This record gives sequence, structure tokens and C-alpha cells, in this order.
Amino acid sequence: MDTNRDKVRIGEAARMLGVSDQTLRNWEKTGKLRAERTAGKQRYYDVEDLKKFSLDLEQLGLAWATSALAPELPSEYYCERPDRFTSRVAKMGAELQKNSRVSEDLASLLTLVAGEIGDNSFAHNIGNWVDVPGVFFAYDFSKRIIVLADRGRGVKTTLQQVRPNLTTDVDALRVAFTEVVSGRNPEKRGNGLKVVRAVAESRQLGLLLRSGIGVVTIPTSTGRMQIKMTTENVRGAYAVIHF
Amino acid sequence: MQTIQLKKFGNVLISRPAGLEAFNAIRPQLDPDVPLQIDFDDVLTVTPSWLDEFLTNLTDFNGGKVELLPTKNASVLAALPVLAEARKDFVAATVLRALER
Repeated sequence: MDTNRDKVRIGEAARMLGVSDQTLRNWEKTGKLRAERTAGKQRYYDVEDLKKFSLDLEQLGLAWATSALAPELPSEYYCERPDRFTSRVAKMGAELQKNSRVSEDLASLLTLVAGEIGDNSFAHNIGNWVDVPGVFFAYDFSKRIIVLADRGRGVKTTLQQVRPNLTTDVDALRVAFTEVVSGRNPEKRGNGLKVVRAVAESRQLGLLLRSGIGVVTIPTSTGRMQIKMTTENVRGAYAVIHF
Repeated sequence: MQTIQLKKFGNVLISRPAGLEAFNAIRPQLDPDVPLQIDFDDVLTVTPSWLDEFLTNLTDFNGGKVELLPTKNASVLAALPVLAEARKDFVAATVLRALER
């Protein structure tokens, strides 16, 4: 046992997570939450692992995208610069390839979708970050989610450079996800979100993406895209990928 | 025919700047008169942005003599139809030939 880190027995771990001992045993069987064993075969849990497991990544990412002042983030979820984001996406891809519950095709597509969304944040905000640069990027394979968020200018403002007549967040998201922007001028456009949409509509993963007061959802249950208005404003962009 | 193995650039290929960087790295080894083929083997993911930038520069460099080798890579197969629709130039022609195959 690594004596430098706090460990707890199953009862204490269950209390910390608000579940029963049996639930933890089931989670261990299904690979959702790993337990270690003492020489006497008793389960024990690393307290740091439990804290990470109990973190609500969706709420943390949403706080990054919506709060007036940028909240403090654990460093492992914050990519200030594109190179850091790229290396972390590559690391995620390698971990997905090793995950027996994820097919090679799904690993490829999840890495594409996360990579394209996060890269968009940098490509469209470089030199124009509203306050704090960078991207919130976190994933939890046991919960089968990937969360990305930025405090940039948002989809509408960046798209208005090529479509000045856009007036609402919902229209901007519709253009971003459905209209092919041809050519290379006046700004290079990757049409990456059209590919993201095609992947999500194949129902291999689900997507929620918010910017301003617009929200795009493509659930795995239907694979059908919906674009709506919400009440809470997201400063830049916020995305949750379910798989 | 010269073959470019994308795995030389990494397992996960993301972003336009990285696509341009990859082209600039390999350009000294390329002859604009020799057709090129691109091999996606042993790459996990290529994003549309990276692929668009890389293909645009390659096809500009040699006048469109670029072919994509058949692949089962899910990220590439997802990106090609959108690239074919978005582009009206050498890139579209290269991608359409690959999709037909």
C-alpha cells in the first residue's frame, strides 16, 4: 500500500459517496470504480480517487462557462494553450483505445468530436478571449462523459465575421451545425461541426452544446438534432459528450 | 507514386495549424511532379480541420495529384463526405475519388 496517500475501507468510501457497500462491490465488478486489496484481501479505496469520482464534471464545466468570475479549476482539467489541449486529447484517445468497453471506432469518433470542439475554442478565440484563455476539458470513462467549456466570445460572435446578418444564438448554432461554409475566405473554416453532427446523428454518441442562450442537443436515443433557446447564458461554449 | 504515412505525425491529428505544420515538415521530401497517396493506417483520429488543411496544401503543391488509400478509420470516414461537399477544388476531387472507391 502506498502510505503517502490516504486510504479508506469500503464502509467509509460508501459513506463518502452516499451509496451502499453493495453498490461499491457492484461498481467494482463492472469496472465503474476500482478497489484495491490489502494482503488480507480487504478492499480499500484511495481518497483522492474517491474525490475525483464524486466530482460532477458537468457542473464544474458549466461553472467555467457561465460564472462572472472564472472559478478555480483543478489543473488536470484546464488547458490554457492549444498544445496542452492537443496532448491531453491524444492521451484520452490512447486511454480509450485501451478501454475494453469502447470499440476502436468509438474511440476514434470520440477523439474526433472532443478534438474538434476544443480546437474550435482556440481557433476562434485566439487573441480575443473575454477574460481567461483556454479550455476546460475533462472526462470520466466510468460515467461515460466528456465535458468541454470555454470563456470565449461564443459561436454567434465568431460566426458574425463571415455571416454579419446573424442576430441570434439559435441561428448561429444552426449555421454552425448545418450550413457548409465554402472556400477559404475571408476566414478559413473547417466545417468541423458538420462532421460532429454527422457522428452524433449516427447515434454512437450523444451531444449537448450550448453557446449564448442557444442549445443544440443530439441524443443517442433518436439521433435527431434539436436547436432551442434556453434562459441561462453561456459566455463562450459548453459541450457534453455522452457515450 | 509516393506514399505519406500519416502515423509519422502522430496517433491523433488535430487542428489546422498542426495540419499545416505537418505539410511544411514533409514538403522538402516531395516532388511536385510525382503523384502522392495518403496512408491512414495506425492513426486513431484525424479531425476534419487537420485533414482539410493538410489536403489543401498538398493538392495546391502538386496540382491535385493526391489519392487517399482505402481506410476503415472511423474519423476519416466521417469527415470525407463533409469535406467533399464543402470544397469545390482539388481537395473535393481527391475526396470524391476516395469515396467512390
